[in-house]
Amino acid sequence: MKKDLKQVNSSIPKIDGMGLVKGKPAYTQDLIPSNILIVKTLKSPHAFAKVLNVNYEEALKVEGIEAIFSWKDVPQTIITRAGQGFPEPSPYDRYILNEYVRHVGDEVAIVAGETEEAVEEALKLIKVDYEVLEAVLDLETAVGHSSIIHPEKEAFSMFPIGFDANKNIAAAYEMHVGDVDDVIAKSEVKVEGTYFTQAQAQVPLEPHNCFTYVDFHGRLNVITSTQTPVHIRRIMGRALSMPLKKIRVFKPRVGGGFGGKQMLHGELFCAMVTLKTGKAAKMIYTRKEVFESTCCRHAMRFNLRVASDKEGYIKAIDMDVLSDTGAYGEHALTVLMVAGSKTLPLYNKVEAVRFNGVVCYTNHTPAGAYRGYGALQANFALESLLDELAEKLGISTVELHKKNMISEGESSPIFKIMGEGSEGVDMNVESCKLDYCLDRSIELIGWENKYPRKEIAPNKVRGVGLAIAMQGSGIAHIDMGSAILKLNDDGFFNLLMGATDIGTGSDTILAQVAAEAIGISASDIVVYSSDTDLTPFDTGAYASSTTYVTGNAVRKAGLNMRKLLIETVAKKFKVTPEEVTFENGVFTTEKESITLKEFSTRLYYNEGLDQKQLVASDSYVGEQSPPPFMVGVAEVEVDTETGFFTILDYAAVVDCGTTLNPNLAKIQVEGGLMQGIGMAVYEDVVYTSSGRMLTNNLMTYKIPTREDVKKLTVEFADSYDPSGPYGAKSVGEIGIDTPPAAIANAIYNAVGVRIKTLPITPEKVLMALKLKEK
Amino acid sequence: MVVAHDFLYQKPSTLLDALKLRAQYGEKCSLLAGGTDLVVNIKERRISPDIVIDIKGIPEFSILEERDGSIFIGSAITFTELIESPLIKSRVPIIAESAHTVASVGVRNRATLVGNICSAVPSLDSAPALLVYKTDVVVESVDGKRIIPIDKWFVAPKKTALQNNEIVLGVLVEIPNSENGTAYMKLGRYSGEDLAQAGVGIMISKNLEYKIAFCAVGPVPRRALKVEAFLNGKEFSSITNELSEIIQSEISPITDIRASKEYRRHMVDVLVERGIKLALSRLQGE
Repeated sequence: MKKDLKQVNSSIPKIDGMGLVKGKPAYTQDLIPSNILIVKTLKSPHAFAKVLNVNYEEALKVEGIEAIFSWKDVPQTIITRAGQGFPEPSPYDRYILNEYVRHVGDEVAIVAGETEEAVEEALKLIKVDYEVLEAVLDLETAVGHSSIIHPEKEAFSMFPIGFDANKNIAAAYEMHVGDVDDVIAKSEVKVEGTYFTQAQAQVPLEPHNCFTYVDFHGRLNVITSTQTPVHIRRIMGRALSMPLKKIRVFKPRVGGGFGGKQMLHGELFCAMVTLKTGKAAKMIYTRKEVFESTCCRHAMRFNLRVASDKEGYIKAIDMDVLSDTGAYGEHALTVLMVAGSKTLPLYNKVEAVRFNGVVCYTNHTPAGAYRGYGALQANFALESLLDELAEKLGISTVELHKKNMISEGESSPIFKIMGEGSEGVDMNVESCKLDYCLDRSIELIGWENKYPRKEIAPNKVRGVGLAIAMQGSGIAHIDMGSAILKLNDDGFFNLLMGATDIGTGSDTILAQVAAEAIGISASDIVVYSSDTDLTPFDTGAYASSTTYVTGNAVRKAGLNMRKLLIETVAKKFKVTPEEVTFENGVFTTEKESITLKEFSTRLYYNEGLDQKQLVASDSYVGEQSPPPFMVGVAEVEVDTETGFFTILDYAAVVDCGTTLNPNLAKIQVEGGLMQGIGMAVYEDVVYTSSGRMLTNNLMTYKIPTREDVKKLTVEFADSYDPSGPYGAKSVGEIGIDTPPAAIANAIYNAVGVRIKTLPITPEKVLMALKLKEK
Repeated sequence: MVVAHDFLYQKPSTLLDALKLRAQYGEKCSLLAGGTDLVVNIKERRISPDIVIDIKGIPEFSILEERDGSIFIGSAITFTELIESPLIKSRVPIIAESAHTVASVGVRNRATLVGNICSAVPSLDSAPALLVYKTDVVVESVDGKRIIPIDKWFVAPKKTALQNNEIVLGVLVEIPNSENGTAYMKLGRYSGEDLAQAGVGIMISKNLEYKIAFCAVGPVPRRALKVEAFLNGKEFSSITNELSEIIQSEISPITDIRASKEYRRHMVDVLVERGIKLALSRLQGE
């Protein structure tokens, strides 16, 4: 299957790489015209308050100020900014601006002016009277708190998601298979633990930014750094009460999203200014605004119980989750559900399993989508606790995993029960090389000689630890992607897609897929993505969907194009399509041959009444969401006097099916590992007791640099998923999942302390070591 | 984000012109050397100067040379220049060692040592290195020159002994006359750019005279005189309870976003022990 591939499974360079490296204008900010209004927002200094009055009379007098709006000046249509499919599984709990402000950094007023200085001056002159309300800043006491964060009567959910605003609950979910309490009670070995995972900021290097203008047709054009153009168009249409035909959304190059650009951010503020003034407007977020006023990862608390028999066969898993969605419920339910649906099926031979979760509102910066999307959080809890179980059983974690993890051809009841926001889809895992990934990753790290620990000097101990993980490939039965292929004279093709390359390289791999299907070189494909006026529907770059969902659509469109080409050539040469072969850019019949180049030019200029445009398209919705799998193994060196530790090596072996572009797949995994390591040991969103974010810049919010992470070893299993495009599954998210647990386990193996609250800092390790000594 | 604040920019070519401007504008004036603190402070609106005086056009500020048994480091000398200077490396190596730990390569290429001590933040890496030597800060105003010993320089967090009509010409670091070993120990979390959670500078001379200075564990960087007195003349093997008590009495760390005061206290003991051992091994020529 794989050996016949010519265009895919080959490491061609990113098609946009050279232009970007050379600094050519490509990103939203590069495209902003001059003489455009500058838009900024006034932010709430309070974690929770009612806006009693906004007086901007003085501010309007500042020279160069064009417009100022408070909540009374903008439509009060309730929306969700989540940027998901429709109907959204997130509560409608948000307005463009509202009389309540629910976190420090929540927007109070929109100011537009000709210069940055004028806008800054006007912001200072706006007088706001607040009624400061008691803020809810503790995850543990949010549910049922006397302070209700969403008192507005209009808030609702499109379908039952457990939303209960009066109790500060954004979403809730429960499911079980079998009688968990009974199975645990009867099991011979039991472990349990409580784990905390922190909020983490996505930190795309390109901040969130956009600009808007009304064109000569009177249509609103929105150029924005987004992952989800069609969702942006739909949500803006609702919020602004505009028919969608009046809105165009265009996504230029995007400098990273990681989930942070799945939601709407500045688009509505800019659009308000443009619609009310008729003038073009731009909004470029400062880094502080990216931290305080966009979104981050849901912080979570897990209460987890696992039971097994004496041989180490897991009998029951009971996972209880409390999640912090912050001020708004974007992605509240789905991130919660993914915590269960992308971890529990790993151990599919249990007799009973239960998942129960509540997502509460707090007055923190809202949580949203972030690579890993719940799976990362739950992976830390589950893989940490399984390490404890192995120890209690007296077997190695490798043996424990081998006895219990899912294998190729198997299924899990979870697949059918838990989807994203609703019921899932039953499936057998048709590709699963976890066994190989496990054997190979421990071989790469040298596990046999290093497990569990090695003292290499006084106060210096090395240890190894591992974790396994799964993710999905798009949302089955929901996410749809499509593609249009257009033949041009001179024999090249346009590939039009709504899929949004946000720096991942999806334009490149999808060009490879199209080329493979047509039977040409990827260099003869010109990719265009994405512009809601020109490109076909695609839900966007999230949920690990582009490779699998859009990839399948592109493959189908490519096969359609190939068929169309051959039929047209057959007609020209008056033979049957079966008599035409197409190879190396040449159509051949028994008697004649013609190059694609010549054929296409003739087709458009010289075929008389047979002249016609060749266009092929197709769509794809996943019947299932085949999981990519991986094993991550960390080797750490801990200084027992200081608690300092270094991650010496991180070996990751991934089963993502066919790697459509092995180099880009490797980069995806490495990037995921870096962010996973950031989550595991460095990053933390910290607030003061009054709810002000302390980590609102890159001096205080530290993401690891390449210098902080030593060796990363990434390999891929030889795997082929029959449902994927040329055997491919997703690879965008899986890389982020394992570092927290693998590193926690490695530190435990090295020095015997188990850190259950992320991030794992040297200080926590040292304090735990001191406690252990006592 | 643009700098949304107008100011006058002047780049005088003589010291006298600079001093006159400084006298004229006083506290409404900011001095620009590397600019790595200044630009951030203006952008973040922590300061809003009427005038920025760029001192890099004045030849005196770019001097790095030996003068009568001391080394003069002009105010425009960058950390990278210090790291690459054979004079610094051979005579006062701890200055190069601490310079290496400041921020990142890009910042070190612009930032200056004098700018660093003028910021007077508690965590500044240059301070312990300068404190273990006999260092004078040389300042000048239209009224004349003034010498401020480094241990009188840091007055309070972000406050120095500099008057608002004065400009720092540079620092004068006396080259120790006896053979010595030095070490700068920094507690940081990242290999990338990071502020010290604690810093310890150590110099030990052949006759077992100890000089020890701290940063980031009190309101201002300072010498640990009681620790020095306890250690002087003694061979060192490891930290005793008695020494630890003295060290702990000399520091007053706080809990902030980077570390708790308990962790800092613990780590200062470790840093002192490891620093002394490192300085001793260097003294012995290892």
